[in-house]
Amino acid sequence: MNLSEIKVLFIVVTAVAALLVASPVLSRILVYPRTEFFSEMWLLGPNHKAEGYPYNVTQGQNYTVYLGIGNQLGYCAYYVVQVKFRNETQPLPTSFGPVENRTPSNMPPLLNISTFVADEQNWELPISFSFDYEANLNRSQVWFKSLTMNNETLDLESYITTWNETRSLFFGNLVFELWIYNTQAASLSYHGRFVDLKLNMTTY
Amino acid sequence: MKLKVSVLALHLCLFLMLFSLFPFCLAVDEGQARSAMVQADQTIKDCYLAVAAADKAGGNVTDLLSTLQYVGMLLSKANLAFGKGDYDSAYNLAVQSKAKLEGFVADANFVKEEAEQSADIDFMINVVGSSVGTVAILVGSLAVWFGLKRIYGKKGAHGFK
Repeated sequence: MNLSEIKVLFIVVTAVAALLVASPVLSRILVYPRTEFFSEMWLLGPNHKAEGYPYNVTQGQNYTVYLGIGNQLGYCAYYVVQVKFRNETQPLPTSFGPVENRTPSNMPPLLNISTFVADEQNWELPISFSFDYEANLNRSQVWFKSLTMNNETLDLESYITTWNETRSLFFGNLVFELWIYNTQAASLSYHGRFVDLKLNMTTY
Repeated sequence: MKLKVSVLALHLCLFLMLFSLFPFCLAVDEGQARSAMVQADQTIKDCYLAVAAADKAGGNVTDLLSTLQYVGMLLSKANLAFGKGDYDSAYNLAVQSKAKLEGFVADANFVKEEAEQSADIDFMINVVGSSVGTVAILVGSLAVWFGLKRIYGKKGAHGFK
């Protein structure tokens, strides 16, 4: 074996050895940095799929959905889900445009669900709910009494929905707004995301 | 008759003493419940900040987060009870939440310190060790190469240019 052959072999062996030893530091330098930081929120139907969502709701009947949150913010987050109920004349939260310009619904929360989710982790909660309401067909209205959610009875006494002739339904909207604890402001703020269930409160 | 009156008076005194000795048996008012809930809420926020710091340092915060989840659920129930005017339950749940978080910040700080120490060791091995090792291999290889070249040059080895 002449020296030029030894030289090639020597360079290859040195390069391989150097790369092996340098791999821990290279793995830190060459990792593509995360550039998008966001939260996800979803609602799945009773079969844990994006289908079969409750729509035609009967008084006293129990329904199940799955509420989920995914944290891709790069830190462990403190979320609060505010459960709200509205009819079609009351305002929905917004979820488009810059996050700081999005606004929550001005309806009072019926229930606050706190959760803490580590970075790149998901959290999911099965939610079973039923409505107690009464139809006043003379006035074409549905008067709500309560919403039972995961065995907690929530007061809906002042809630009313009126018959919508165009859509032929008594519209009810169950809204789940995502709020997040802002460490700088030391307060909870609307995170610009919500999921909702549009419901037809049947009277039969 | 006098005996009956004195027995009645004695009973009255005993009842009064009983109530003065155990004031905590009395129902909780709205202000007390609200104050307990505000305190519990602040405690949760402080604990969350401690967990966030531990998480940022690279610590395993799974157990800490599940404790916070549980306490968050208790506080949600306390809020509900408060909304329904059940101040006793709201107060008790808020006190339970706060009690569950006793020593929590210290635990979170411990996890953070452990994570920082392990990050230091990790840095020493994986960054400093790896960098120094790579430089050593390159320098060592060069030294060996020049050594080999010198030996081959002195021997006038076959194929040497």
